[in-house]
Amino acid sequence: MAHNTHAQELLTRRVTLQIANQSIKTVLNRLSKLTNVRFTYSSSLIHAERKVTVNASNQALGEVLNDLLTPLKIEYRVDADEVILNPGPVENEAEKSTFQTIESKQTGDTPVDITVTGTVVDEKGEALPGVSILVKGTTKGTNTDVNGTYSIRVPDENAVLIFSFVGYAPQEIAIGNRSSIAVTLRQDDKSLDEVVVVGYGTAKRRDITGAVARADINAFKEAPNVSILQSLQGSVPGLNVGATTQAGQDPAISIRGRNSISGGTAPLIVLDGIIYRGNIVDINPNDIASVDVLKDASAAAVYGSQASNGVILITSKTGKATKKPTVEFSSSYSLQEITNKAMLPDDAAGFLRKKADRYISLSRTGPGLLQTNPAFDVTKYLSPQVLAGMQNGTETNWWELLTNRRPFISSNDLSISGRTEQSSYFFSLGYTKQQNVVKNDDYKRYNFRVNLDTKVTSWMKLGIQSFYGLSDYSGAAPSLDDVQFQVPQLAPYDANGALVRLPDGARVNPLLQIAQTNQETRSTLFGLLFADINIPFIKGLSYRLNFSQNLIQKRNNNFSAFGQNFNGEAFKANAQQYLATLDNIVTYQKTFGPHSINATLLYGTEKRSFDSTRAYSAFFTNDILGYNKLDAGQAAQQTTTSSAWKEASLYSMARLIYNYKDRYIVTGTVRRDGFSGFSTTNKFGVFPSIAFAWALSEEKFIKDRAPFLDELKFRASYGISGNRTIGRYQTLAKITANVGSGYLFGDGGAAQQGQYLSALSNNDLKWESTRAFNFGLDFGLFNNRLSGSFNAYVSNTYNLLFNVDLPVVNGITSSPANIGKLKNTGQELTLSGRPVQKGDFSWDVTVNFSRNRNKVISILGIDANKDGVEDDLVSSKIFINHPYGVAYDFNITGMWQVADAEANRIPAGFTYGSYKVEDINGDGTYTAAADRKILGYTDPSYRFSIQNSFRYKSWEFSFFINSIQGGSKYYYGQPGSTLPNPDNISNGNIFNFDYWTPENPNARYRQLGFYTVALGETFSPYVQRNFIRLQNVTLAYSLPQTLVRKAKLNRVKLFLNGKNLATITGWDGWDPETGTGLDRSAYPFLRNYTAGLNIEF
Amino acid sequence: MKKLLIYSLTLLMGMNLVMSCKEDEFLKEEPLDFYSPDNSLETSAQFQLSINYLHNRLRNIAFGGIDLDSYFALRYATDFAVNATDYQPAVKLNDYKNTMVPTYNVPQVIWQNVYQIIANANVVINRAKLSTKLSDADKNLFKAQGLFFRAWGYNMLANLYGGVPLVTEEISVPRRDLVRATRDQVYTQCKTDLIEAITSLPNIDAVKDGAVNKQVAQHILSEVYISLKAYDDAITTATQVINYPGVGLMTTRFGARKANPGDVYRDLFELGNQNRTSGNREGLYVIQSDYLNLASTQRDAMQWAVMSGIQNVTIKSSVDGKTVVAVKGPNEKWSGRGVGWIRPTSFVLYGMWNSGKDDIRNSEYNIIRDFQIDGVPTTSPDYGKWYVKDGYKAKATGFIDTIRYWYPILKKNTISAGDFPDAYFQRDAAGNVLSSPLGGRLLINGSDLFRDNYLIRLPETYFLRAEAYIMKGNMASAADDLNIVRARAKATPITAADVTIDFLLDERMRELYGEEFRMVTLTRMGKLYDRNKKYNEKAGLSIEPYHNLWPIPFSEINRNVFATLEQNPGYN
Repeated sequence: MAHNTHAQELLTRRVTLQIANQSIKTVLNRLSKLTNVRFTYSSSLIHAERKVTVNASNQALGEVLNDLLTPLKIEYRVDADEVILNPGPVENEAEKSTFQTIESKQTGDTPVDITVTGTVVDEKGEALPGVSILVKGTTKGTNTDVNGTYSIRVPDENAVLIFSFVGYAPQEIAIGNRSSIAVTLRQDDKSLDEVVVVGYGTAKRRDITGAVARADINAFKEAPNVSILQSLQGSVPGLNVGATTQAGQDPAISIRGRNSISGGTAPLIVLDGIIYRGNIVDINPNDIASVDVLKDASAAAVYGSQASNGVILITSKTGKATKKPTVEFSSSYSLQEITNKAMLPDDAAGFLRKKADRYISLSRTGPGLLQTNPAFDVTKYLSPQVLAGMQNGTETNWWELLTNRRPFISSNDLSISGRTEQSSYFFSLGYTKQQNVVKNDDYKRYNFRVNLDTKVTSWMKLGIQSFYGLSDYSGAAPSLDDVQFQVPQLAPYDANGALVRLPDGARVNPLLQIAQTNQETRSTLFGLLFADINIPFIKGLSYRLNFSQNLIQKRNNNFSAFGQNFNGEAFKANAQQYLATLDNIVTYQKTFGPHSINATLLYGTEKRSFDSTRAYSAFFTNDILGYNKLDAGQAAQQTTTSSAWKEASLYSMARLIYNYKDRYIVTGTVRRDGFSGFSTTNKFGVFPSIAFAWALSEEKFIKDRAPFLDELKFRASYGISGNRTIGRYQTLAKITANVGSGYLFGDGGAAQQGQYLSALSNNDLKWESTRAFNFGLDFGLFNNRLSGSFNAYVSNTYNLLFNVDLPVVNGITSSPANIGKLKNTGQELTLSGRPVQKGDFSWDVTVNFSRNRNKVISILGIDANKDGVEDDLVSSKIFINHPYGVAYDFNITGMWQVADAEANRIPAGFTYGSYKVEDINGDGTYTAAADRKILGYTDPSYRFSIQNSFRYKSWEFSFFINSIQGGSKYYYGQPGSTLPNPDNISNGNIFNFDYWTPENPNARYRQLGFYTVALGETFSPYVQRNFIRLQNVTLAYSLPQTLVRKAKLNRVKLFLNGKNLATITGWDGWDPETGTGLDRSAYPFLRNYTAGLNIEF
Repeated sequence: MKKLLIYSLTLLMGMNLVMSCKEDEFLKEEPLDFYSPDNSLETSAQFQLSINYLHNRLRNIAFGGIDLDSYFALRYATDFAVNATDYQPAVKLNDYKNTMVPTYNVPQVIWQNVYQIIANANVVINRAKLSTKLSDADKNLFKAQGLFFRAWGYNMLANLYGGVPLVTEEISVPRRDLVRATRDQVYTQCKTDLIEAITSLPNIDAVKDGAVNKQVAQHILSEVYISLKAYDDAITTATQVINYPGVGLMTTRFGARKANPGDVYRDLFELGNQNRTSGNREGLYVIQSDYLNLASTQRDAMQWAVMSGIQNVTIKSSVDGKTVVAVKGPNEKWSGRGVGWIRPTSFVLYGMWNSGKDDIRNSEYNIIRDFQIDGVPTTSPDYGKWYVKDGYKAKATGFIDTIRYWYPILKKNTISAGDFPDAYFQRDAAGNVLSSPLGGRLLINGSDLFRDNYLIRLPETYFLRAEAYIMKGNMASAADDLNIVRARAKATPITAADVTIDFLLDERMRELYGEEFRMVTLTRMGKLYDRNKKYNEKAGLSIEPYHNLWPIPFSEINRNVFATLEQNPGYN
């Protein structure tokens, strides 16, 4: 929490240090370690190689600095959590130039004749004070002032300036003939002093022993990502983020491989230190300062029984190190369109063509069935409504009627932040509106955030981090299945211009569906109140109290005039969840000699409760008040249902990070977790972990031999973490009672409830456990021009909760038990480099790669066939020593053709245009028992992404390529499994796709009019979902500082962004990543074109 | 350092101590919105809820709340009907041999739903014994109802599959070591259960409409006795039902529409005429369903499935030769809206009536065999013509027109014009009900029937007794029983010489078409193959003798990992 501490407090930290005849640099390094304070300075300007002596015993840092620096004519000031050092003021210009002249003379340069001025800002355009500027090849230099401006004299046009600042990547810029150079420094994530959030506290990056990664959320800042999770897609190897298709949706996320079958695979989300159980999309992405990902068991182990899927730590913004308030406004507007136009429903002629193709034996004749049968009259196969429409020449484009012409996402955010001596603040307002392609697939979000902290006494800081988010999904989207299904020959309006109720006589007009009154909102109120107390008398010991409350309220109201056969139907549903967390955290940080420790003790509780009420009514006598007058429905049709639950957790945790000489670091943690949902015999679980790191680059023998090596660190960790999986009440026997299960006796008899035993009690159930080993390597070379990180892991999950399929003779179809074992192994690599850095031009590349292999070790543990190997669980398609997701099915070897039929070669149950499959046991028949095999696996084989960024002066261009690949055997899906059966396909419309006809004998999909029952109605080819996607392209331009300053602004940035611009794939249907294939009811995958701006003043 | 350690450990232990005594209390789990077996299987009212559920599940099977293919399969692919949708080319059970395989979901769905009833009946039987709050009379009564449902389920399973696993205890630890009992063992269990149930069950006139009663239990027991070849017991038991004064065949007009033109057979199927309160004495187990009653949202799918899709019938216009739709839409005067899934065989629609023209079960009130064209403008020469009589049907060229869109309407599966609720009518955008110029209001999706329906009706008891007599070779008594049913239908009496098992099956069809689970009857009697071969235009082409029993579901064999569930012969 050092990063939040108020400035003046830094100087009161106590120091004991005896050091003789060492360079200023060394002394400052030691002081930094002792006090956890960062020093920022230009070595050359303060002549940091000068030797000094310090003798301090329990003195305040301020005093030590005064004693040390005043004689050296070095000034210092405190800014946020750092101390900035500058040469003291010179008495007059003469002396200044003398000073510089002396330097010039020393280096033998020609006299100064060009003055270059400018401002140095960070990526957000914020002024950076204290940046060191050095003329390359000389010791001459200066620093930026508090406004980030500088002025330096250089010898000639060939001079090159080096801009450097702690925590930022250095930059070299050739002067040329310019006299004004604006510089933007980018944060250097590789800084070892960077503070990383580690769960219940922070640690310096140099102390990290586990697999922890900070996501680069700035990389996709310009993309129209409504949820922050979308900005993580492809950005951290091992963090798998899916794609979304509906408005206001959070994508699916997972970390590393699958550790659970019946349980969730989503990581635990922690917001500002509190486990967050709401929807991420309710949090304004613009309020987020950082996202850290805990990937391995040792890093995540502090969260015990909820850690085995990894942890995502989200930290919201706080007031920054500026004296005056910073106002930031950003706005963007994004146009959307569908990515795959081939998925649009067919036209009127296409509908008739498919109708004929559905009856091939009737519509075709002659050898090979290649001639049109003149006797075939398609009108015989049309419903009366379609027939009438066809005769009237009706052609309706239902898709156009039910989709938006100009779908968009617009986003506007305003924030004010700042810091005073005692306090810091961050206020923000946000409004996002998303209108997707399908009508009423809309989302609106209003956000409001207040983050405040203030030092009430010298030893106590109080603060609040809070937000309110309102997510509004109101509006009834039509069933896409109905939209695609509507036949073009049907008219939506009657002769009087009124909407036809049932265009095809059966399905409600989708235009009526979207006319429902629908309110669907979710509001989240989150508040974290905290106190940071520095325990007196023991330096380094502090106590933090976190008290957080989170209220999530959902409303879902709907009135449908067409419900209940147009008699009207409405409901009002309210639900609310309340969460309270209380954490007591004691930390102790101390450095003595070469040893330093960072210890954390935690004791906390979490309580959650939920309740919901739903009132329903139908058969309205007067429906004009809709769902707000439910009692206008028929009394006997009014029903109420309610539900409620509560649960509690109780936990304690201890963690110790021990660092010896910055070379050897050990982290040990243990967490004890209790959860009300655990069975009475297994109420508590204990989750230990240990990790070790060796910073090889700190060793002298490496430093001497490989000075280009900035960092080289080996890490190894081992830990046990859990996955709750069994939720509340899952160990209890359950009787379900409701009127839907009930009965009545006699005409006019009252509706009576029914009840049944819906679950058996199970006291043996417990959490799932994962033992994981992680090996890692972090490195940085050539001033971090090339850096990277490699992780390899093996994890073994045991006590896997599995719903064992039961013979239904038991009256229940499955029952959970902790029996299975899964294994995951994987590798992850991140490489970042700057291949080109020339003057104002730079090119940065980041490559991410990850690969995971999942294997089922055991499921039921039964070897009934006595072959020494556990039996596969074929009924659930689970195979021992294979990955969990298996494409186990009949193997398509081709398509039966008309010629086969004419030669009587087609086996019973098949016909031309049906899939020819392998007869594996060669018995001439095709059975599920004997003729299926493993065709491949559903998991991806590997994922990679490449981010390229080019910067030239104020221009920035970047593009991001993301890919998931299946290699030879992985990432299989079944795009055709959702195709309708012959009856449904002939009654309704559908998009065009590659189906078999005598004229298209090499089609991928069977003929429309027949499927082989033995293969199953949904049987269809398996296709790999491999894709390479140009996911993000951004062009940004920051207005010149001179212009911006004139307008009294800090920064103005304009940008254009394209998202999902191109995808290379062999998949059929909407999109490989979402896995939606030839699915009439799936929502389309969208592409975006965005323009936006950021202004700061 | 030492001071620190002591400091923090004390703090932590202190917190732990404060909390630890409360830990168990803090983490205690308390259900808020569901019951547990310990607090909800005690009182009489609570047990009634469990009994309600058993009725509910039975209705779910009978009315089509289960998967529709499975619902259909209890009826079609028999001598009653073919599948009218998967006809060209023949798939599903129209291609019987390739479809009725162990992986087909139909045997799985029926198996699962019947076993669900058995498992829940086992809970009632077990818990009724244990309850401390029930009177002895109530204990026996609830147990008897549980035994009835269990026996009904096992009897159905044995009829369809042969021997099945026999579980008679409440399951507390799920089993995966099941083996099949023999078919006789299953029937014997049914016998034992029913004999015990009969001692406690009240007579039919002493219970509410729809409730389990002694007579329906005796009826099933009689069928079980036949399966056990105990024909004398079957006759005795059936006789007990028949002779019970509270039941009897309806021979005179009754109920809500008795004053309207019609006959007593039609009265049996009018809305509101199934329960005893209407005066009906035939229903032994009447499945309860009321329009808009929240405890009967599952309505019978039969009307929708068996009624032809008449709204789709087309004719060639006499004016311009164009294909035009024959009717304005489904009309209440015929039936609710149908889609033509279950298409009765020619035998049912025509053949079986050949020898009995006066049979009221074939009257114009019970089978509608023609309709007037109203889909064309009133000025058209086609308007008002009869589709069959005036030769339009003969000119139909597509198979769909005569297989799926038009075939005679079995009126017993639907209610009469005037009984459809307002919600079922087609309206224009302004909300006005649409009707045909030839009379009758047009219907929309009101294709599900909310009427009560018979699971078991007294004529079937006569058929059981006749069957037992036939098996004993007493054809004269069998003929007597058959004639009692025929007499009510005004069919000509038969003689002992006419009596065969096939005649019995024909007569059952004439009386119970669209009503009984024909599949179950035929598999029980081992006649599925014979009758399909004889009468089913599609399934009959590929069916083989081993199909007289359904396969044991593949998934059930697969899941039963600790023992082998043997498959029926022919399916491997």
